[in-house]
Amino acid sequence: MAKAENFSVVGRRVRRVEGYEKVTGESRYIADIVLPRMLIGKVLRSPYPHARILNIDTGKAEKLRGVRCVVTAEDTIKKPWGAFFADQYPLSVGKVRYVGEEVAAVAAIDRETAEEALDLIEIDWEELPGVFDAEEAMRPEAPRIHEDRESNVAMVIDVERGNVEKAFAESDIVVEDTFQSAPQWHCAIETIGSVAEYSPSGKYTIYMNTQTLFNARYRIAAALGVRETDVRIIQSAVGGGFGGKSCDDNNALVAAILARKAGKPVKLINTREEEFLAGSRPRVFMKIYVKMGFKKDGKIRAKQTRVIADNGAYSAKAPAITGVAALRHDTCYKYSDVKTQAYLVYTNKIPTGAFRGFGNPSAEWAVEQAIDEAAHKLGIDPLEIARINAAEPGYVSPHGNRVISCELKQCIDKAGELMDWKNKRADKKPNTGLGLACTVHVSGKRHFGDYDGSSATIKINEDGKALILSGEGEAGQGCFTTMCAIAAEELGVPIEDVEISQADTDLTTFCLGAFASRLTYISGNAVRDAAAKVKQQLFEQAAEMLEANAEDLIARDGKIFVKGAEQKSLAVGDVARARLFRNGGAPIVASGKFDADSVLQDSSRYGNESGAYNYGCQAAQVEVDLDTGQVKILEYVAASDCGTVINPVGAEGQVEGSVAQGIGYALIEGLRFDEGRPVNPNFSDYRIPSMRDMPPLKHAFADSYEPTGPFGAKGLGELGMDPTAAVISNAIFDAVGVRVKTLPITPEKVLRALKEKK
Amino acid sequence: MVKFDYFEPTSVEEACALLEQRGDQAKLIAGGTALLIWMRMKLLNPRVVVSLAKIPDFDRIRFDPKNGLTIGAGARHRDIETHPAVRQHYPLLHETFRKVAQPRIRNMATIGGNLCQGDPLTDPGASLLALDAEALLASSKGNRTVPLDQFFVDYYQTVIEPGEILTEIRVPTPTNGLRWAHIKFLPRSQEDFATVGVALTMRLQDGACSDIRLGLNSVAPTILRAKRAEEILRRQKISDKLISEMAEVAASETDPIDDNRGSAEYKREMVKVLVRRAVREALRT
Repeated sequence: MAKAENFSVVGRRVRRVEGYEKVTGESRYIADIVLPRMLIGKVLRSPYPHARILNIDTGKAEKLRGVRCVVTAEDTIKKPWGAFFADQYPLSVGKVRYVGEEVAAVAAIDRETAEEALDLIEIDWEELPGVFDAEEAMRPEAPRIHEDRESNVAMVIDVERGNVEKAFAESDIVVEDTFQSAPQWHCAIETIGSVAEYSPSGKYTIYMNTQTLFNARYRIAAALGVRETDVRIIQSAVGGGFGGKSCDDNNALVAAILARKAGKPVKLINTREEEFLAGSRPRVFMKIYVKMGFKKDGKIRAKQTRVIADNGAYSAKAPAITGVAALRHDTCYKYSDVKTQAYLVYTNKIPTGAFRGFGNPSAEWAVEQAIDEAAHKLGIDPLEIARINAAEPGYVSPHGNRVISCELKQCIDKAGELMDWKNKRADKKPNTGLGLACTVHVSGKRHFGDYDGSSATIKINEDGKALILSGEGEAGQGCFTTMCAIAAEELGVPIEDVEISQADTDLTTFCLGAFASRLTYISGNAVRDAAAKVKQQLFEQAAEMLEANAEDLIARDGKIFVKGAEQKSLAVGDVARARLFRNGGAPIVASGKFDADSVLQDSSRYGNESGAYNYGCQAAQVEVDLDTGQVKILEYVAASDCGTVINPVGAEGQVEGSVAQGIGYALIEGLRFDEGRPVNPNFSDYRIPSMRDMPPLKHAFADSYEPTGPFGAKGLGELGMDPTAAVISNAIFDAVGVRVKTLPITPEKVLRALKEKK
Repeated sequence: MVKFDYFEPTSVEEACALLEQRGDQAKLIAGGTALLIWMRMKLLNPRVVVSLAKIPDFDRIRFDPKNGLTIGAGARHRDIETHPAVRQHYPLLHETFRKVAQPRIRNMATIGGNLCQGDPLTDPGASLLALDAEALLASSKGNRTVPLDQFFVDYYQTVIEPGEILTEIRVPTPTNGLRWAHIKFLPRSQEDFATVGVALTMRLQDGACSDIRLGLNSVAPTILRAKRAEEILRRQKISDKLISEMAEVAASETDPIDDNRGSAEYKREMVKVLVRRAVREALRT
């Protein structure tokens, strides 16, 4: 492991660069943005899971005092849009497919007037039979959700590598089981919102709390029927994204359509209920059948899965998520014979989509339990079976993922140490148990435009301070601080001397945004490249001033000097000033770039999908109450391989937050539907873990270095919630010998399983 | 626009007079943690909102050994939780109020608002039942006192008549040797409403149960006192068999619903488990 570099900023605990604004309440979220003459928008949503719209009469609503405009599909180009499959409209065209779908919208002088106007819109409906379960929707006689499609199956993956049948025959034991995961919401503290304005010249300017500006611009432009540059997206402060703010919903589009018709800016913010019904797209829930063959020594010989994923009414990111659930985990352990069949199926429910972890939490919930089952059957310590099979540097997965750095074994060992696994296992107490699971995640994923890169521009001001211009944006996860730390390290200046711009599609270069745990690795590389280039310009100037060669110079702590002659140094500010006021006015500015060494998966889903792979292992000790079924997590540990840790404060926060969401996924979360109608779309009924629900949590980071990453770093943001549900379920099994195979693992289900066991 | 007239009377009499004049168009507001949510959800659209905030001493908490504890209806949950007399003489109340929601709610929500809302999911009512509390109601026609076990009528419904205001809650002085237990069963989150709430007080004399009160919340249309279950132990020598029998009877007195906290069947099962635990815990105090 190469760790030659001696860092002065990287690896240090630094304060969030936007921290003061956040803690003093000065950050400008969507709710804080007020434009002159701004109107308030409200959306009329479908009360039916499946119905035809026979007629919409907006006359009365339009006449209400204070209403500026009412829009329906007639105000749109009626062209479907979507991240992978274009199948949803900004406003329903002829038919609705889920409860909460946007049918019409109003812009008025205030919220109350807009709400009153919604009640005045008259719609004639023809209710249609709906289908709410993915397996039922696969039947030929099921109601067709999209008439232009041959069936409700949106996508099929059918892949075999090696020879699975032969490999099962050669296995000493075979385990198989079926697991059902649950819809989980992001529950970001800020709901989705936007403020849109339209200029008569034809340009839309939209303030959005999105985590993917340029993807948002692309999709919005397509749905509005204009060119990308006719849409300007400016990122507001973002109160949490977790995948839910990656523009798969209609909020900004509806605001833009209203703003154009009203001729005034329009603010449209989801209420919490709207956020549950039709805002952030919840985790794709899946039924996963898994079968795995093992040799006596614990080696995995074969793996087969069958995945049925609930797409909801429209596709959002579910096609890619289903692909990840089907294939990604084969990069975690070494084996070559694998088969998967995955079906993504439309139902009359909210479209599902991207949530921290993508397809991994669903897949790992199933596969890591199968491995645990095998360990128990073979009498092998679950920690050992993970170790025996763990991927290593140089591993190439059956689907072509090429692993460079990989410290999974170290993570397993660290998790074991933090948990005191061996001793606790030897000294097992009644009704308590240990469980663990491993995970792999990408650092960026190549799909949109066969591109997985980034660009950044750095300008040096006359006082020597650097400004990063980046379109990646800050979604609340802390990537601004990471970018500033990387630039500071490369430039040799204190982190206080680096600032980063607001993301704005008109002012920053093309960036894909926050998803796939990509920013530290992908954007970090682009920022580092820009910093190296702009540093070169400073060095050329300093070389002249120091009468030295530029190649002999180094920069540290804001000073430039000849290597070994630190006493004769120049302040970066003095160099910048000298450079700026000579050179015929040339700015000190450079753009950096990076595109990961990955490929777009081919039609058989083969190909190295990411430039680097991050790994982790988590373990829990739980206690089960035999009378109530309640599961108490006594201790939780998480060990992560994210390469070099750029900012330990941010990294620890990512792990803690991930584990919290993972615990919610495992034990309490899940929206319940009654004939497609969500029954608990509010925080009273849909609970997420609070601070007080967190168990004692220890974490560790592997000593790891990714040679293709900025200063050895790779991704981390999603890793921490991928395995958590399996970890807890495995620990429950170890404690009391039962497995609950549907999420969430409620005490009621545990109690029922305990009774059935008797 | 949401429009309503807003009044801040400075005496109970004035408040009663306003209610008298404006009839069922008027709603009282104290902490606002329940009313404002209902108004935002458009479940209530009052034309008149009468605040109790300006009535002097409406939040006063008093204790004297003879008359016990008198809690002004305007007292915040947090005031009650932290009151020295409550800590010293009513550990069950301290424990109960400590567990309600989280401090931001407890700093706003009042006990009067809590009881008058009649929400069966909330905790204070069950513990006040177990302590034999009574409610003082005022109106233009005069005052009346209602034992708390006759106060709750149905979901979000109490005995309060139009024009009446809950002004005080009175809790008798606990006698020496009062044993108690409180269990708030929270399988989802510490900040959730109880899946099942159990509040128990009992006294022992010569190895037998001389007095017992069992309050339950979240398991019926109202917060309830499980009187038939109490009778199983009253004046009996306590045994495991009797405790189990009592728990079975307590479960039969409930009428829970299926919801996100569990099925009715599970909640009834948990009443049995938790009542048994509560009795054992009370015996240890």
